[in-house]
Amino acid sequence: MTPTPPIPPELLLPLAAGLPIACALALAAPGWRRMMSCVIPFAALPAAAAAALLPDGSRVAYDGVLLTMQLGMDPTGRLFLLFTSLLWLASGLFGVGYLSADPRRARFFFFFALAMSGNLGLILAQEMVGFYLFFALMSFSAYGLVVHTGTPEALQAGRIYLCLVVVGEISIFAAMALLAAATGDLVLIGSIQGPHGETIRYLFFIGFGIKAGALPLHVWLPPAHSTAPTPASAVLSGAMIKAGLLGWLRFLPIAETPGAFWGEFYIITGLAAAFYAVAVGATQTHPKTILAYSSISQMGLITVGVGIAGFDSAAAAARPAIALYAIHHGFAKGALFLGVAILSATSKGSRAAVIAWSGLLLAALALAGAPLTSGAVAKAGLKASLGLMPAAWQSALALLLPLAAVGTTVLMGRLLWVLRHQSTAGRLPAAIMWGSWLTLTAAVATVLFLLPTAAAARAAALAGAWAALWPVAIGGGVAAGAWMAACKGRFFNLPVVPSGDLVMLYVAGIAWGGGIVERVRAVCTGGRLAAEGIGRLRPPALLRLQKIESLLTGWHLAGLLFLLLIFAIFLKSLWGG
Amino acid sequence: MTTFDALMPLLIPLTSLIPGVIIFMLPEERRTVRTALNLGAAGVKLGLVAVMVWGVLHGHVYETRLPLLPGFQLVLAADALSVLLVALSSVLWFVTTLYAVAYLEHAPQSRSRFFGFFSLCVTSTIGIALAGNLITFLIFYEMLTLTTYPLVVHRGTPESMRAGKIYLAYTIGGGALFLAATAWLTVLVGPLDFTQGGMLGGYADRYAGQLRVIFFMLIAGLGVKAALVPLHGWLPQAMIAPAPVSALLHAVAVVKAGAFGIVRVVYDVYGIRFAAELGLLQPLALIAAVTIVYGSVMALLQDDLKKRLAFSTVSQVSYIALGAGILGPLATLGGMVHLVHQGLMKITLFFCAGNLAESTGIHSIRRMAGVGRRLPLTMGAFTLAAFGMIGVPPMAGFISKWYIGLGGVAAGESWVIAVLAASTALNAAYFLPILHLVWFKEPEPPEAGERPQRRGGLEVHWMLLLPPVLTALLALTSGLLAGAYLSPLWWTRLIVAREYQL
Repeated sequence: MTPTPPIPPELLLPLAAGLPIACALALAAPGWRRMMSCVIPFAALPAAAAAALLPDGSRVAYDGVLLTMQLGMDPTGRLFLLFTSLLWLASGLFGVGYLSADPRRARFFFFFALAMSGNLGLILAQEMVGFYLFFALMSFSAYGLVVHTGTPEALQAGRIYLCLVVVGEISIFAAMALLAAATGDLVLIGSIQGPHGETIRYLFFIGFGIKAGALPLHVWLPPAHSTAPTPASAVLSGAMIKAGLLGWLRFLPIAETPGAFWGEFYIITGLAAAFYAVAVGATQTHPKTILAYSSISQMGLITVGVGIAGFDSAAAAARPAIALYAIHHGFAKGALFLGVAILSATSKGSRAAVIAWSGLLLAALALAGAPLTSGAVAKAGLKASLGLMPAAWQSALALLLPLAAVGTTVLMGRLLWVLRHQSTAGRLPAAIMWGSWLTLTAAVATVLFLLPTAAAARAAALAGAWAALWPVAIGGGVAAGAWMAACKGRFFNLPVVPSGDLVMLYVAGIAWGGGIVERVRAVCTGGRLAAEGIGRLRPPALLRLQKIESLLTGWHLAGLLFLLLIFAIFLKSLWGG
Repeated sequence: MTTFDALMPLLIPLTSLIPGVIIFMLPEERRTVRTALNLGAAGVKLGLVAVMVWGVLHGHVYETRLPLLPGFQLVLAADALSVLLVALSSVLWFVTTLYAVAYLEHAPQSRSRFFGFFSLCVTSTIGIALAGNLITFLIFYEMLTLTTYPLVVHRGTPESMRAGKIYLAYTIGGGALFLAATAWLTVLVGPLDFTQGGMLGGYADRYAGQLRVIFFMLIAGLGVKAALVPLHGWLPQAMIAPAPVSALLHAVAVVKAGAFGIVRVVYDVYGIRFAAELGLLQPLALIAAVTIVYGSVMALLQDDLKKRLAFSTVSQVSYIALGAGILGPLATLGGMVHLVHQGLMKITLFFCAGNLAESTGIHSIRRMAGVGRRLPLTMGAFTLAAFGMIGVPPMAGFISKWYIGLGGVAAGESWVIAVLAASTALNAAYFLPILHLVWFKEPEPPEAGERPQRRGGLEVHWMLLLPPVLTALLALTSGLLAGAYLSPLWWTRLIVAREYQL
């Protein structure tokens, strides 16, 4: 019945996931560097085409690849693919201009392309191993983006990032292996059964929560998102962060909840992130760090959505709402990151600065959920799914969600305040940067109003326009009050929480845990390697280990041990046999 | 065709034995003849192995029996498991020969001696792979010890002589134990051929106690070469050997012979179900788990690149023993396929370490800053292999880890997942900082004993460059195309189906 798509899925699906890798490889060839750097953003086009053209249920399977890799299109995947591919395209084009004078541009685009491939591929993957492959590709490649500038802050951010990536990879691997062993299958949305069901759910929460910036696993996110070059920040915060969310949607079964515990678990951690990140973010002085904290807060709200989907009576309504929220946040956050860079390149009071300010204001209002913006539609969608929940949660969330919106508005106010002196540089952004930023801003303004899937949420948003106004009004009022107070110098200075907040706590805890863990961390956090590091950091337990090791090398001892072992086994067998 | 089939298992070891003997007799300066002989023999062997792979798939029975002593026969036979190791060693022998020619042809030491023993070493490995009973296995196992010693001490320096002494003490001790166990077993049940599914099941009532002791003697004897903790002490010492030797030692020859022996003993002597009945598997799995974690922790503490890789071998080879120590087809699959996967990844890493030492004079990890710019292809290969060791898809290491993990859970031994998680974390902790140094740090000016950058041309001689690139690509494709026809995983599925009579 479905009309045949103009491009066969057999061609488009592998192209969407694989073209960026091919471009990255071409980039590695010395003669092609210059040209390929400009071509790589367009490698996201097949994915965008796939989102637009392929019908649901199109699928290709490769028996020979890994354990039968399958790529395909499904309703959730389409929505994710839509904003992810456009974000990579726009950020990539922005990067062509942003990095035009950077001598390491080729290296940046190499990792950019690999991470892009991972991000697009994991959306298309329809079984576990393929998903894990692309997830790993994205996570490890993004390291190259985080440390690109090579500043001490970037290297530090990279270390924290990499440690958490490894923890996440291990958690997901363990969860998948437990799951696949229990079900004997590699399908994504199956069921979580068997004696290890609870363990699997915790592992998935950790594994994907790290990527999604769930509390308290978010510590890598503010330093990494703020020190990466702006085009990378945009995709990190707009697109890659959603891979964790998609992981939850893909792996947590829809129609199977072991009581309400898991739904409540996600709702509570989500709410905690939403408020906590606003509080910490409001103390930040760097615009990109504020945006990173805002991402944690927004992902917290989406995590609440995942929790709502965990109450199985509400699952069906919450899933599309989550995807719409992801679209909204992806575009808005991307536009904000790029906008900050645009603004810093304009000169104060110029027409360019005015345009930059208006665009930023639009995206900020959308994020806060002001009426008639994409944020209002996304939030209305989320609220509509509340109607199916237990009454107690309904009333609690009906109060808390608008409160979170107040928080977001305040945080956006703080962002604009920090930005007020940002217009400094004389060199205007290149046309390609303006173009890509304006495109993203236009996407913020329009996409949720054009998308057929969002029709119900739109209607709800229009009906509840007044209700959506008061959180923004209150938040705006608070922000305006703070502005005025600050202008008159009657404003106390907030203590600045270090970017990555809890990370210091973790490091301290690890140091306190001491011993081997400390050594592992030191190596894990790179730089100072063995020889010099060991001298200073080697704890007594490890010294002993090394001594034992060198003793073992003397073959007399090894021989003796060996004989003893055999003798013991012999005695044991005489006794037990 | 039948005579040919009967001769095949003899022909394949001969393709390296005969050239080996001829090379011994060649004068030092006959470089071209020696190289032609080396590469020619490796090529012929590859061809024969290809025929054998085809034949085993199509139901040919390759078996040679030679009378050895009254009542004992030298049996060379090719079953699916033998072919796995034979194919791996012939492919890797070919690339290593290429590498060794470029690496050592200008060295002052005797090359005739080196390449002669090199060929004999491969002959022994092939013999081990094709051995059809314990006696034959033992003969080649001992021969391997003797032929690798001259390779380990090749440089002739005091350190390498010392390492050689340690190596001999360990391996001869292990060999003696293995001999004793084999003799004991033969006294009990007579000389029996390796049989898929095991051959001792019928003796359970009479000899259960003795069979338990013999099992651990066999495992301890093999564990020396397989570097099970605490019998691994020789391996990090032996890394003093030239790079191609280390590469071969760690990937196919010595270490793999031990691991392969363990697999043979568990599956084709005792039979995995019988071994499980006797309660022998759990101790084996535990030793393997301890080795995996211990080897990785020690690797983390090394600054010398080759030493770190050596400890990493200690850890990784025990994946094979771990797979063998868990009852169930999935774990078997993961363990056995790691025979090949570990070989491909580890040989790549050693080739790369050799290239690094050869072209820059750098041996220590902390001096590796920025070498990615000088040796992009070498370090690209290194990066792929390192990710494979961590177990990141699509590299081959992921496939092994996945099946061992699944097998562990399926057998009710979920702690295996924790061991794999620890191993992954440790592997990441000792490989990722290297990768960071290599690709993201600015290069530092050369210190004493290091060489500045060459101008123009390839980063290293093509014969040094091709082997790591090739093996890295093999490690990539055997993971990425794991489901494809004739991939290592595909072939191992065949073996597993036969072992478990599925």
